[in-house]
Amino acid sequence: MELVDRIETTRFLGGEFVLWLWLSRDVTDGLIQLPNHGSAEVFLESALTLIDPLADKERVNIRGVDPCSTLEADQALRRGKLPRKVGLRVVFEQNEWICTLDASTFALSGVKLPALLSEGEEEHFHERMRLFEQVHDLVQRLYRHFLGVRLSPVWDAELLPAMRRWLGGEDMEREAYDAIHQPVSQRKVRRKK
Amino acid sequence: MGALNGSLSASKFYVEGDLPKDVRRSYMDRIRLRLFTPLRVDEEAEERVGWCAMGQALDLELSPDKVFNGPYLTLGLRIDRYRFPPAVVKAELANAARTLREKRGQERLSKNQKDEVAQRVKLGLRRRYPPGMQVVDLVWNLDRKELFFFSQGAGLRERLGALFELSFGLELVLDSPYVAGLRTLADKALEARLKDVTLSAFHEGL
Repeated sequence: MELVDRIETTRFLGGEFVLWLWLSRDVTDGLIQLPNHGSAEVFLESALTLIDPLADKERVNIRGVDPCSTLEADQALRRGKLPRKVGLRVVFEQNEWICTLDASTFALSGVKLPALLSEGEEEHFHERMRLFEQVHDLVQRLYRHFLGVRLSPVWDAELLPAMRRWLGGEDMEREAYDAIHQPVSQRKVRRKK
Repeated sequence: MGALNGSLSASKFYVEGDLPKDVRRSYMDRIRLRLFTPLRVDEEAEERVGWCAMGQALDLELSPDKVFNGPYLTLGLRIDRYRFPPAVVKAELANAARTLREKRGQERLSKNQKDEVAQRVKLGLRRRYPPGMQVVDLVWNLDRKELFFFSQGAGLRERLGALFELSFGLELVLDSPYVAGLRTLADKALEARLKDVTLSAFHEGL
């Protein structure tokens, strides 16, 4: 398969990634441990667009303080729709970014950066770019963390069934979430014990 | 919204290929070759694309200190285009055709006369109205081989890709879940699974 085809046929991974952030928000209050990079807080807020991954024109747009908690969002997920765009607030090392993530291209728009501290035109530009790159790096690390589980046997065996139950209205226990998201090496150690 | 002020909206690209040894000199030469040159009223071209200074659409005198900023190469992609409202063009054509018919005492104009009228109307409109201008900032981190283009429009992204490849001989790859996965996964086994991953049915049984 050509690269272009692979890119097109795997865009749904972006929607699944946002759904995983949504689950994390419900189970860990948005606090996500990033392997080797500390932890980040991720909040889904202000805007949410869900689409049917098999029929692009079928979409639901929700705006409000907490769009993920609305009945419309719940119903859209139950009908097989996945998030396409979502408002994000990301907190990392005392910095906060607010933006909208397009899950199909990972493009960030309307990014509000943390307060800039530098003075002078050149320093100001460098700081803006550094913080802009940093929020992209954060999204990428979160995605890598998701992919680590998504592409492992744990996905089909544990997380996907757990997410189905969660979508059905059942809470997921924090311990179960943490166990699923442990690094593979630690998971093996646990089994040996 | 651009790179310099306000909130930021951008498309992220990965730059494929190796940079030349003398990046500054080599790229300045290449940028100058594709520098934006304004459209002239009397020329055939209806559209022109080229580079300008970032955040300064009218600054076409590019020098290394304007282009290179720490690890970043910064430019503006400028596109000028003559585009007139169809209703205006139609009215102007009808008016010019009527004037010529009356002047020559003809009931109808020949094909050549119609073409001549169309040319004259186009020239007249170009003299009266300047071309539309679009400018988009780009910031290329040469160390990271990543480029932010401050537009998410598909058409503008295509124009960027074409001009970028012509200018620098490098390919731009737009970010996506698949590309980000390939870039971020260090595990070959996971990379192989990424190629075969299929959509999960979360709503199954609900």
